[in-house]
Amino acid sequence: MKHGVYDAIVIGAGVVGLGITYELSKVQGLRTLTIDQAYPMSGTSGATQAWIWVHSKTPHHYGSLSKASADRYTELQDEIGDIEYIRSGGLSPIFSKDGLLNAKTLQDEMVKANVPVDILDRKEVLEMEPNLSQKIVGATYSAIDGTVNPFKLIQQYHRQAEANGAEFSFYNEVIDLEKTSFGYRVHTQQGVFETEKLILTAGLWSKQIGRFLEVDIPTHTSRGQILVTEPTERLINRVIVGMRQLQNGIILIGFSKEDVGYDRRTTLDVLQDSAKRAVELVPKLSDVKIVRTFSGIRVLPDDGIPIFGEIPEHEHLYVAVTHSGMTLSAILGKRMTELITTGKTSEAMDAYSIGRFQERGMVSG
Amino acid sequence: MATQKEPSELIVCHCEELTVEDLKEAFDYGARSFDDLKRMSRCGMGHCQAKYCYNHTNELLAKWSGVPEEKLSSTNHRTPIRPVPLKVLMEGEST
Repeated sequence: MKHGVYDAIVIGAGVVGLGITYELSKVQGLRTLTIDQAYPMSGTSGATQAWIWVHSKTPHHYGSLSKASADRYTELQDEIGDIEYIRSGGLSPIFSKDGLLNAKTLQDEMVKANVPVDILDRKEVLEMEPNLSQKIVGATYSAIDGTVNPFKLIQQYHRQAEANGAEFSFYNEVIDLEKTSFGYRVHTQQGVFETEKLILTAGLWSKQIGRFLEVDIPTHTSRGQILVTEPTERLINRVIVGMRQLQNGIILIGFSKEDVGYDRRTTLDVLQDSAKRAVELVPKLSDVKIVRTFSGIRVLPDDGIPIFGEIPEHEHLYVAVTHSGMTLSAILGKRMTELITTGKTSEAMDAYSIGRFQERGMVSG
Repeated sequence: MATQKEPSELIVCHCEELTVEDLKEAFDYGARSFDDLKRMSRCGMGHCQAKYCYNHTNELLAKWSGVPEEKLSSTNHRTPIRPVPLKVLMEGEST
């Protein structure tokens, strides 16, 4: 059995846990261990379209946080190696008059976050993306949205962190946690580890991990089913809500959100509905072939907003659990490292404290 | 695998043109299942969707890890069995 004493242990090696591990690995003299029940990319972070998506993240503070992360990706692209971060711009299509009204509300909110959102009419949308349906009424657009290659991002985080001295333990499930006078004791299938600081970044599984320390992490699950096309001619140049086209010509398509727990199956009804919506949006897709489908389970905090920070009344126990981990991993890595090393963050993160659920009486128990 | 000659340059995944050496690199980095290798290297993500490379890759994984092939975790085989245009998928009846 393995054992060891660490300054910080990170539970969960998805994109959020690895983003934090990478930033921690740059701190001199900090000994860290990152544990995962499987291997990076085997869960949510490996089953994603990997948009770096900012422009519909309301309220405005969430928009600001997402923008800060997008900006951090431009630095990471140089710092950790090619992660194929492409700021293509993103369009959220509108098909109704009501949609246009909502767009104005969104634009007003995003102005407060310094996130540029344009409201485009039909003609402007079609000039930008000529293969979109003529039935479109308009779209919201932001130049800041884009995409990353999730496999490259995760492998670069992992490799760079390891090169900096971070330790990893994969295929090793956490089976219990204990508070000690020193910090926390982490019981795993492969051994027992001691740490001063403990960071929970287990995505979907955080809720169960939290229970070991009687901490309630209020989240639920949301399955997304994705269709993968054959490589085809360039049909879209930006993220169009529901789809992106990769550099190799493959288009990823997905619109679905289903709360079905941990069930990662794909189902024909949802795939058919997704195909219909895709063809409504881009009629030329009708003749393009699907080669594969997959599904992933997102984690969603119960109020939709990231959960981040030290857990009240649990000294040196930290959490980072959020939807949109791809978009946020860059900034959460930085902010968590500030918090761990200095006790505070350079920008206020109060809005994301898990304490908000207690105050609102939203704890699900 | 059919040949003993220059095994490291032998192509395992024809769709994505990945060699034994490419897969060994992913294995050395901690990949222990076909899906780990797939996400690290794109092995099996191409047109054939792992129909050609799956068994060969598992033979290699078994050899390198010492875990018998039948004990390796299997990949998800998902819809569609062969490429199908969106218009056909849309019109097919769901049961």
